[in-house]
Amino acid sequence: MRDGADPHALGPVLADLLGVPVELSERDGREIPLRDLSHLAGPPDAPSVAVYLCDEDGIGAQMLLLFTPVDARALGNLMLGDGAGSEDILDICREIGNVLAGRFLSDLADQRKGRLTPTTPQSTVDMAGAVISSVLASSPPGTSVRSLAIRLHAADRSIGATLILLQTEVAR
Amino acid sequence: MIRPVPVGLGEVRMSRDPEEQLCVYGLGSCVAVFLYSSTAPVVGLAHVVLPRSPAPSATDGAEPGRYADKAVPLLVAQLAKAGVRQGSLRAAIAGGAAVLGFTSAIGEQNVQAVREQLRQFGIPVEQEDLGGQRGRSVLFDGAQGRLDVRVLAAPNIDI
Repeated sequence: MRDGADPHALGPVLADLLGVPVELSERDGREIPLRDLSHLAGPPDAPSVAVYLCDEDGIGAQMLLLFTPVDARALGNLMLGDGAGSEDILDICREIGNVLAGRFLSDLADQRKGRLTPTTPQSTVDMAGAVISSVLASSPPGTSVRSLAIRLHAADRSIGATLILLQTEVAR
Repeated sequence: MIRPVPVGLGEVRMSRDPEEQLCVYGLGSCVAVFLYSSTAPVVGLAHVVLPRSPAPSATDGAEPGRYADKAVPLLVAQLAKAGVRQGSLRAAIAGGAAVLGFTSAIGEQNVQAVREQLRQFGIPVEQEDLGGQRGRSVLFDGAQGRLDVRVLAAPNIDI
């Protein structure tokens, strides 16, 4: 992925979308033993709002965006005002995933001179470790993992998220 | 005092300590394979990620439990080395979920591969909690010989 899209370019994309300052910090998944990968977004049994997208054209890229339920609600409130419903909050999370994946895959497609067709965002509310390990298990051999901590600085609070980018060696 | 001992992706672990409770937190398409004995106070756990190893050298790394076709034989061998008679072994298995829907094939393949391995060793499955679309946390109470499965409160988590 080092020769792939720069994930730090996603910070400004998110800041433009949400209208708040955004910080990104990276933890390189290649340095994390397999046994610990399900901890990338915190305790593996913790509830998580997860959004997943991948490409449909063999670029070999996948993206997983995870929020705690508290942070997902704070994000919903930031975007829609207090009292947003759960479905509305999920829509917001999916839309953010859509925008981030669109940029990430677009950059990657440009470098590979390939096509780009991101899938429709899939979402679930489940244990973070169950989602992460399931995505990893479904990934082809040689998939590299990059994990970024996202911090959104809204007026009255900070909102966190974890962005996990996966890319297969064969597609690099 | 009971101490939960989490076993990570691809790990294999055995315990004779009655105060240790082997467990997996946040199990999705993976399968947790607990082996226990009807005659000895010992429990083993393999956290299987994939059904089959792609090459003989695939388990040379630090995650020998990653593949069902390597993890189950390894766990049986570890228990045999600890003096547990193979004929006394029983299994409890959990996981193989289709979290996010698209992982259904992997979960089912993991379950089938684990079942096949256990069948080859003649180890009966006494307890199981498999499939579905939700993640699980699983613990094994060695004293009671009981599988304990926990899930989030359905899809109605308040966000």
